[in-house]
Amino acid sequence: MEPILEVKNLTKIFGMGCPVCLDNDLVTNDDNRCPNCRSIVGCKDINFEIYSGEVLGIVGESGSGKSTVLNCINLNYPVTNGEIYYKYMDEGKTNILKIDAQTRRYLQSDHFGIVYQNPHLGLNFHVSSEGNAAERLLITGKRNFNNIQKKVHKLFKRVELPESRYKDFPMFFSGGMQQRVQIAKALISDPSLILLDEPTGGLDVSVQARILDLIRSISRELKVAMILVSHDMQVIRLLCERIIVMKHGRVIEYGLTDRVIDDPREAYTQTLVHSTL
Amino acid sequence: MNDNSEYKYNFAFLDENTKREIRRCILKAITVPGYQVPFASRELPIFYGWGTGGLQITLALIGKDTILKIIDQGDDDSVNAVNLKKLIYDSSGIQLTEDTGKATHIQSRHRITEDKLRSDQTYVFQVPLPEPLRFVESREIETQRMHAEKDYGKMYVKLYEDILHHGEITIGADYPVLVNNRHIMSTSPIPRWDVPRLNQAPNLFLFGAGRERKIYAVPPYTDVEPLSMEDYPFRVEDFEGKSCMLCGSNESFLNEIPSTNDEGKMYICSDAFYCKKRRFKNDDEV
Amino acid sequence: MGYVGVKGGKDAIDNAEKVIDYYRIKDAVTPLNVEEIKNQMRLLIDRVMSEGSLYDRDIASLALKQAEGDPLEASYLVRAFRSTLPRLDYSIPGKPEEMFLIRRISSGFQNIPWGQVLGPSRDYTQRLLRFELLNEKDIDAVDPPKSEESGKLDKPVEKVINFLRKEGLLDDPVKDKNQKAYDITRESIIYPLTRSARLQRITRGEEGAVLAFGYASMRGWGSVHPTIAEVRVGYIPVKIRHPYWDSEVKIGRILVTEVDSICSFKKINEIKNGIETEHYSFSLGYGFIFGQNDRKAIAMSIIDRALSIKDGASPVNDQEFVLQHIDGMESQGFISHLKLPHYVTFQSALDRLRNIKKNKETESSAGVSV
Repeated sequence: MEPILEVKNLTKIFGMGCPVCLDNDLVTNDDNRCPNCRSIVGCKDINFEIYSGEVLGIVGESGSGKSTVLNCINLNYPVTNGEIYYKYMDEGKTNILKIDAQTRRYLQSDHFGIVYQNPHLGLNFHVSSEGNAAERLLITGKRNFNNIQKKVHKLFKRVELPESRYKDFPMFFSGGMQQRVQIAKALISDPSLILLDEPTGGLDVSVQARILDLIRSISRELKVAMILVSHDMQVIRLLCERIIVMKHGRVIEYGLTDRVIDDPREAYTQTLVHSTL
Repeated sequence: MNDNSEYKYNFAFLDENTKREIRRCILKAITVPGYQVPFASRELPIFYGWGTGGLQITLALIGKDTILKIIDQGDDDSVNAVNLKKLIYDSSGIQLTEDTGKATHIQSRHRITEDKLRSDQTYVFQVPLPEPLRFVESREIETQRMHAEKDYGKMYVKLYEDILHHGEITIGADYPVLVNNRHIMSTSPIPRWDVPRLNQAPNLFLFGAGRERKIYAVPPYTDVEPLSMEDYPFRVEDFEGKSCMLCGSNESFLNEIPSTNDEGKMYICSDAFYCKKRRFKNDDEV
Repeated sequence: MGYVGVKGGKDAIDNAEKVIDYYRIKDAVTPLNVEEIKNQMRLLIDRVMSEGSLYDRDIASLALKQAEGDPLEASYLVRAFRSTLPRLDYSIPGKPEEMFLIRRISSGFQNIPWGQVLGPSRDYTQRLLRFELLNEKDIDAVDPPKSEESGKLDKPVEKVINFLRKEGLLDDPVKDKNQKAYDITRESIIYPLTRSARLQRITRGEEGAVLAFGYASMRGWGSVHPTIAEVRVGYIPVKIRHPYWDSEVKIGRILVTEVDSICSFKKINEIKNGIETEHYSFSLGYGFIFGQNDRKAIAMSIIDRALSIKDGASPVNDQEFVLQHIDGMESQGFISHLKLPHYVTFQSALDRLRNIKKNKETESSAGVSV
């Protein structure tokens, strides 16, 4: 079976970059900054694959580069180096990091879905919740209002949004409801891949639990591939079968979730595991 | 009117280099239907905002044989139309007419004439705000990108929101259209009534926005499709049961005029020449 | 019938022109002498030349007379006239050291080489009405100041900012000395604009708009509150290159106001030979206006600096917001255009609203919730 997504040598540097940070792999100071040119190494030489139906976790502290990887996969900004191959784009032969703007938008709106920790990044607060979810279908050329609305309503029901609020603007919603709108928006195009960036960060514990349940049931039901980024080991353990551990923009450990958590090899991974359990 | 042999200014007012630049922009606009070509608009003896864009296109294109008609909201005799004609006539001496059939070049503010146009006629619109995406995005840099990448999602979201909150699309005049299946274009504030006339027309349509410094075009026989949803199709204004009180027409766009009669209003054809022609169709002279 | 057609547009215009002329002179005893307007309304002329974007005192005076003193209307007449003139040439870039100064001050330094000269400034006068001017019958001769007498400088007066540049405290912003200025009257305006184009938009801008944006910036909406290194008012020679002999030919001189503002310092990061360097320097705002107009030139320098700030979040940092609304011809034109008939477009809007109301009423009477 082919992977849905193959990521090879993904590298993103914020700043000018120089031979030291681009070509070498120095982790001299204990941070992401290149000692020579002061650019920030967002992520460096990331390699992994993900298969349909799988939930892959990316875990690490704040600043480890997890969100950068997600943003790169969602084609949110140009990368410094690397290739990504997607199964349903030219049978995985085209590097999707190098496609034109229109094709990029099509992938972002139709094939991929993303849920951000900060709802301002994922939602337009000047448009109703329905409009937010409908946007992805409208971008890809759907033009029947009633059909679109039916689909939106079906998904809103699935994510347990109260019906009286469908037409309201996200700015009047609680954090948990905003995340539900984001999830519905991500699902509406029947994507092959869903990216979740700390989807429950900042929500209170009971709300968190319900959102996580929702995500888990969706993943089981739809068999869609998911990449989940979090610094919270509990969340990772609950949802992910495989995980990648990142530090200062690099992958330092990877494997099955249970193995990595029960038997971490790197000191850093140990710290992460023990600080939450 | 001045004695034609004595104009102090160049034929058609603008200097020849300026006319050339405008014609080049027009050609560029024709090659990319619906795309707004930037041009270095000149100040004219008529204010920015009062038709200088359409005027510059007209001045750049007219020649000694041009027969010119100018209307404002359909009316040849409206004060602004008269003013524009005066300036053009004073600097060129060309023939003016009210007769839509006789004209070779028509400049218009806010309407298309009721009479069908021909392939030998050029129709120029005066446009106040050429950017159709202003409804949803105020920044010029961003709208430029949206056109370049055919990223029109936000416009369709606006239509969705209109239908969601109001039950219909609320855009009145200046209805956005998709031209040649590529660019979304502003129709300049013509009523929806006139929008279908742009589609597959035998004549060239040109659009000039002087203050905003843009020229765009719909070449003959181009597809022009108003934006809408399949189940909420584009609709023109509703004149059901109404007719012009002067000529009796119930097939033309009607102006509503408040009145002291029982109904509280009366209707007159907006296209003055069309109305006159119907009223005097037995006379030789109109 | 009740309907009165709005016909006779041509007659209305012809009559309106007569009425304007009636109002222009109905209470006049002697016609205004255009020469006297030119000679005794110097600062108003300067404003019309600046916004009309044409340095010609006679034309500006005529325009003011025709416009009954309305400076925006007069500026418009001048701009429209300017459109009929061909662009013959571009001058050689002027050298500030060649300016024959009649006024020069600095707020940043107490003393500067060559000294400070207040010149014809009202800054320190008392704003009290001089009623004796009501009865001015003859023009008494007033001795010209010493600075006006010699007619030329005995040595070039260096700009204050050059001293800062020598010390390395101010960068030279122009990297390419051979780059040509952008001509916004001949080339299309496409955002984002180069600095050359931005400065041209501001210098031609309507005085009130320029002041308002500069003021807003100082108060925090553009984050620029500068120190003035120098205000100069003086005559600069206008020179062109001789078409055959390639030498410089002076064709005249114009009176201008020039302002250099020093704004906050900024850090500049560069990579030189693979080594990252950073240094600090002041940033500069530049103002240049036809005629004598301190306040507009100062405001211009503030706006210049505010627009040069990358990724500024305040309104006056936003090029499109400032520069699209700063031109008096565009603003007065578009606002005035609302006086044109809009009944067809209004009709369209009426139709939409009536339709929506009808639908809502139908729905609620049918018991359908919206």
